[in-house]
Amino acid sequence: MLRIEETERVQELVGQMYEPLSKSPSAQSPSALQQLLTIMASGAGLRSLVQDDWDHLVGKWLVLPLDSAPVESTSVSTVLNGIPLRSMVRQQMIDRPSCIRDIAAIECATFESRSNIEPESLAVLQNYLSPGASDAGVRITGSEKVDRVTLEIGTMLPHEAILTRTLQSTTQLSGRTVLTQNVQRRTVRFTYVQEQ
Amino acid sequence: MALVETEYVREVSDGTVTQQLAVLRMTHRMRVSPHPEGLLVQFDNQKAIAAGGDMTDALGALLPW
Repeated sequence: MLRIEETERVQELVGQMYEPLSKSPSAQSPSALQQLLTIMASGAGLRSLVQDDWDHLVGKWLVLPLDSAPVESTSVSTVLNGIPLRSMVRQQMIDRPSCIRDIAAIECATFESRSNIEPESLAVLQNYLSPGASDAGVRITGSEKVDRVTLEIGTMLPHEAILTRTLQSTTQLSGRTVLTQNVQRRTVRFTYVQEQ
Repeated sequence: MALVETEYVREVSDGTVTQQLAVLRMTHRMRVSPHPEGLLVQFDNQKAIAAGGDMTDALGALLPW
């Protein structure tokens, strides 16, 4: 991607969207939030966001071969204030569905990346997310991110992207163990039509 | 040209009961056309379809993860 144009309207919308948050009583530092928003909504910030989004949707799958064995690796993420979290990542093509563009059937491939935070990093994650929770009998037992994207084989045009984050935990309550699963899912579907 | 539908759902389950904490649905239009420097990708016509629950996480989820 070379550049992003006409960012003024986006900056205005982001400002309007987050304005109530910066004024809420629970906001710890409105000036810090404002600073973050200014960076995020700047031309460079938006360009970075759009670039990341496109890489997530299309770019990262370009190197993954079709119909091959799963590719496994270990990744270290440092998104949490520089605290390293180790994950096991397994990537592969899982399906070759037929997609529809306009009225034509197009050969597609569905790629999946499944990432699980390693057990020793779960304690680190727990201490970061809710320090003291373990004293209250809460324990994070699993954290998984599944990224599934369906793209045209010939053009890599996206048709569907589903990103699912699952956090599993247990809580000790009156001598019994209660399992809790917190799921966040973002689904994006592209329907291609001829422009009128 | 593509109609892009985006849905975000957050739910919590204890294994028996699933409770939906947030849901957000919206659409926008994506147009790709030739450009002297490559391709021009345009996003417009954003429309809100539905929203409910705690939107704080939903808004964050619309950004790249």
